[in-house]
Amino acid sequence: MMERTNNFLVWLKGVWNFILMDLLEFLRSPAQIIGTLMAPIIMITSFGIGTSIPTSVGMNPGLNVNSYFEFVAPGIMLIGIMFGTTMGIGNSILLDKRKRITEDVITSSMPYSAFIISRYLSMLLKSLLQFLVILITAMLFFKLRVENIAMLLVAASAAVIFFTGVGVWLAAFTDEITFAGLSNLLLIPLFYFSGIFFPIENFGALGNVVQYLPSSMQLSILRYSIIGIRPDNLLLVFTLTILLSILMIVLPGHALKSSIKK
Amino acid sequence: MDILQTCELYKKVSDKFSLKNINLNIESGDFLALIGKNGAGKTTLLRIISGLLRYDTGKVLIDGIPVEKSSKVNKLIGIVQQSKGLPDSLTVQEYVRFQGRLRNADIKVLNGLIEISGLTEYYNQYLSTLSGGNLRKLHIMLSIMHKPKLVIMDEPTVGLDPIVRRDIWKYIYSLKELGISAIISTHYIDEAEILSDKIAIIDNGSIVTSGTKDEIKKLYNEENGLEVTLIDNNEALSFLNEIAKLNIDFIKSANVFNDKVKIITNGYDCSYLLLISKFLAEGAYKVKMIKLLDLSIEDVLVKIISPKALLSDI
Repeated sequence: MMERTNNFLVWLKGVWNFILMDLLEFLRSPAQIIGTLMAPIIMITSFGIGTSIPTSVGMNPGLNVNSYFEFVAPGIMLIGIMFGTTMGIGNSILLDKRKRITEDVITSSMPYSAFIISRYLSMLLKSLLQFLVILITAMLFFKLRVENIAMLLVAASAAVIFFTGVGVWLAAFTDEITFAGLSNLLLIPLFYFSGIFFPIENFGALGNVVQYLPSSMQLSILRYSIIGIRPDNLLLVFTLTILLSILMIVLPGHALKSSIKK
Repeated sequence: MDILQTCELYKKVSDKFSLKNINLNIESGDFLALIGKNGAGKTTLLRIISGLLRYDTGKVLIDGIPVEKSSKVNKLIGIVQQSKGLPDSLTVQEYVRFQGRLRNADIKVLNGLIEISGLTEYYNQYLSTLSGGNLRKLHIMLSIMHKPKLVIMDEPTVGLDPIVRRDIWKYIYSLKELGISAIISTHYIDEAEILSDKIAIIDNGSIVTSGTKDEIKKLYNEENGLEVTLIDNNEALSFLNEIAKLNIDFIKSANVFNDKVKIITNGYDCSYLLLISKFLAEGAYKVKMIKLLDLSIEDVLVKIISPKALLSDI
């Protein structure tokens, strides 16, 4: 029992060690800070100015939204998470691989799980910071209301974890150039088919399939948390989203380890 | 007790053996140098010993423990990689502490090592500002901070100038006083001769010979010869071409390196030296020195891995 507690404390110290190093590097890189904070502010501001007028273009009349901005804002937040997280963690892992920091981990006495969990946690911290900046900007300047803040944070975290997994998985088997190409190939369809700019029902029969895309499910929970549009199958969507996020820690983590230790 | 033992180790990469039947052992406290040409399998072997690469068949034991048991083995080994990047935005202190926590190293040991390696004055500097020599020292220091029994070094002085190389040699050699064993892969024969107790020559994925320097030289020193140092490389090349044309029967092979012409002869006779001297005098070559040859480890290496290279310059 004592040994287990000690091992757990060592593991926790390991996680903290990696997070600390990652955050130190982040805070010392003005380009990364500006990129993380400014890009989403610009995006939400442009959409806020351009779409916070009452409109019904392309919208289902049954939707209870005051403006197109209310409808599209959760999607804008998801885009931030989708691209920021996948690219952020992917590039970070590729850099770790190039600098052989991942090999340091494999050959150290620290458990590998401490490394991989720390990577997810520091990504979660950075992405949630970015997410909150967008949310606060939208709430302060464009009168966005939030129906359920707890659910919103859970949904955002699940999305961050999922796309961190995507980034780790892709980075495990690619180099810088292939990574950029493959991540675009994967993210662009997820982006366009998840109903960010218009209701997913507009896809007709295709909507029945694409509603179960991870990004579509994450978006429905985000939209539910922010503007209260409840999906018919909320419980199923919520359960699947959480399960997928957990799976996207385990599988990419294992894939990365295998790619280092050939 | 052997600190490292590999038995009948095989590794295939895309249907081609990159390592074949590797049998090596390092006794506790010994330094072994692994030499061979590019692509011979040195790095592959070191990565397997480090636990970074899987092998197909055979056995790798570190202090009697199979290398697969990484949680135990990782405490016993330290690794100095060939090309290692660093998080440039961290200071030496931050990075050393990060690595120390990663390897569960004692902070007192860390401070002591930093002092020994002469990095104290750079402690608060960013890693990006360190010179190549200091970076290499830092890597070596980090590899021993957790008191490993075996340090695995992949070309630890590659790309460094001769002065810094010697400084690093001293530092590496000082590890012996700490009772640490080492396996060092290198292209520099002088480095191998100075640092190691034993040398293993690897070619095409196989260990072709291993032993102490004297054992290896004795094994391959069946030939005699002499080395003529001329005024410059042009003079040396012209001399080499002339003796090639003469087709002298006692000359087995000859090659040129900078201003030196190395002539390997069939056996040894005083008349050979007289004949060569006479030929040099007749050709009015500007000679700096003539000396009888003792086969060096470099000659053994060239002889083993590329016998034709000895004649290719003619």
